[in-house]
Amino acid sequence: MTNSFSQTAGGPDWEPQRQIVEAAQAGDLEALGALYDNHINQVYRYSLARLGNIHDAEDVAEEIFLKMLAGLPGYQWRKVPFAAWLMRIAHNEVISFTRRNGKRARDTDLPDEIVDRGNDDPAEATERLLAIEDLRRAVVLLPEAQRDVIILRFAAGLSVADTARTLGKQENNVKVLQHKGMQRLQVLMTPKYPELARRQQ
Amino acid sequence: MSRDDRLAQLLQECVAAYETGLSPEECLSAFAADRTALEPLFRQALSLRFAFASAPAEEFIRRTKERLLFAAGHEVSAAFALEPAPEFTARARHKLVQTAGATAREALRAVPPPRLPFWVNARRRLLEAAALGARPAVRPMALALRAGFSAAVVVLAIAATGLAYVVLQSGTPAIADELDILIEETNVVQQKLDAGEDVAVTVIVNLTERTNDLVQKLGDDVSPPDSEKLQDLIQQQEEIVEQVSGDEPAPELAEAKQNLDEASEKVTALALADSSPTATPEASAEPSAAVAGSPAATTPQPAPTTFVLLADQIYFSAEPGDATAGLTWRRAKTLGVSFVLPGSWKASGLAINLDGVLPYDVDTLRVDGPDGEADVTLLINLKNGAITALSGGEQIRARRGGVLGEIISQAELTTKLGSAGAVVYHIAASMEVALPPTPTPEPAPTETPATP
Repeated sequence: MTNSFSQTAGGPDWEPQRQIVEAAQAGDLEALGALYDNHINQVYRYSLARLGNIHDAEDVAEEIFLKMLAGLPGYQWRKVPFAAWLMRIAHNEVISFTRRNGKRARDTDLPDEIVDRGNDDPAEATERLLAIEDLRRAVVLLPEAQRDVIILRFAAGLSVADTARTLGKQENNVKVLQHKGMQRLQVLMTPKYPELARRQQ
Repeated sequence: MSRDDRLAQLLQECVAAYETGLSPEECLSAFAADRTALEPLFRQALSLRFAFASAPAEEFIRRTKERLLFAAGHEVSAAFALEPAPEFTARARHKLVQTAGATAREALRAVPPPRLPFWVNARRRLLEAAALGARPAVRPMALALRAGFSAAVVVLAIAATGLAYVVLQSGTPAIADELDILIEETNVVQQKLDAGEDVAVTVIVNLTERTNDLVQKLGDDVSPPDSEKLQDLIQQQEEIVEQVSGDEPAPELAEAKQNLDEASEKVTALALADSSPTATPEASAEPSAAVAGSPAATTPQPAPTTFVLLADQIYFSAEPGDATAGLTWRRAKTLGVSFVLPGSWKASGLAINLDGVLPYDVDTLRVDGPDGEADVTLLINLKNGAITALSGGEQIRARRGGVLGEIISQAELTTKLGSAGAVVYHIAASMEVALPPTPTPEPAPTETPATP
């Protein structure tokens, strides 16, 4: 899977990605499939982080790619990187889905791949998993602007620049929102996990 | 660049390095100068990455990808655009033939092209004709063939009708049928002449001769057919004779003209007789006298061309259009009533199956059904039309007297008389009673039929 953390339009590393997008626009099925493969995790994680429900996340992720297909002929690489353009679709679709369906129950169980990640110490692993679960809940408590930035940056893996393009904000504004959001998360997490907060400090 | 901007940039680079496979410690070591400020952000960022690192299910990824590609339409069109390999087609056909056997082999041998609906060809021809605008050019060969076929059709038609005529002549052909045959033949000749084709004079002479023979038979032992048809036929044949005569008519046409003149004279006389059935009393003197002295005669006198039906006379005639109950019917008519009777029944010893005028001297006519077929006796009042049926000692009022006499239902008659019920009902239903007589001049004493 392609690393989405350093996506910046115009860079030499993005020439293969650009060729894929242009081939998909020309009707190349394999290119379209490659686009999907490169961005499905990104889209899904973003949807899950925003909606907190696996089923809703799957529905929305599927709808996002169909919207991507519909808008692909009109996409212009020079104006905005593809990942930013795709996540803008995702952002709008999540908002639309939430407006249509309201706030639904969030899954309490962590995904298996997160549970499996831990060290060999069961106690520490359990504590860490609980901390991660609480961190997800804490993100939801962030102000909307900070939450959007945090999720796009760390769930979708967008760069600051792409996050700014996705949200239609200045990069500096995104950096400020990210910094404030992370500080607030520390505040929210410290009373419950002082050791974790201490280690992070 | 502010401190926060710098930390954000370092954080992004540190996370990117972590994504490439470096451990967190290795990542932080790369930024040793800013480690103190960067480490808490980096660890929290990693925590957030872990928190949202859930990957979609493989099944979801596969399904969504299929739907995406399906929506793209390329797979669908590609799937339908695929054609089987020729080797596969041949192999499958051979396998099918071997499996299905002879029937399938025969069916697959030559499949006819689908037949176009008739209106497709009709529409095409119509459009072609409209495009041409004018009649197609005359082709001599086609014209000759068409003329030849037309002549053949005429000859065949005449031969067929002539054969029918001969066959009918051997028996007792109906006058109407013979008349129809003559009309048809005459029309064929007329059409041929209108098309500019030649018609043999002998054919025309034959037509006029047969027409005259038919007319001359009228009034002998058959009822006259529609006189208008006869007059039209004779007139059409006269026109045909005129048409083929030209400046120098063939000698045979004189015979045809003579035939038509004789026929026309006879038809005119019949028409006059038919148009004056109640002629003046003077005109009936001779036939009345002929029957006056023979009240008990059982043989009807031939109906003259003009006669007056007097009181105490009954006139029998054919009713060719009536085949009720599969019987041949005759109509009996007096001055007061008119009704039909089966030709096989007996009316007080009178032979009702022959045309003609018979005298009668009773007010009630007795009609008996044929022995062994209908054990029914009818008493028909010739004054008021009342009909009483006697069967098995039972007396049944089939029709009450009067102009509007009530008729018993056919179902009731059938219940009481069996199969004869339908016959009796038809007799009763056919009864027509004349309105009360208006004052008429008294006939001369010599013209009054004598009563026995």
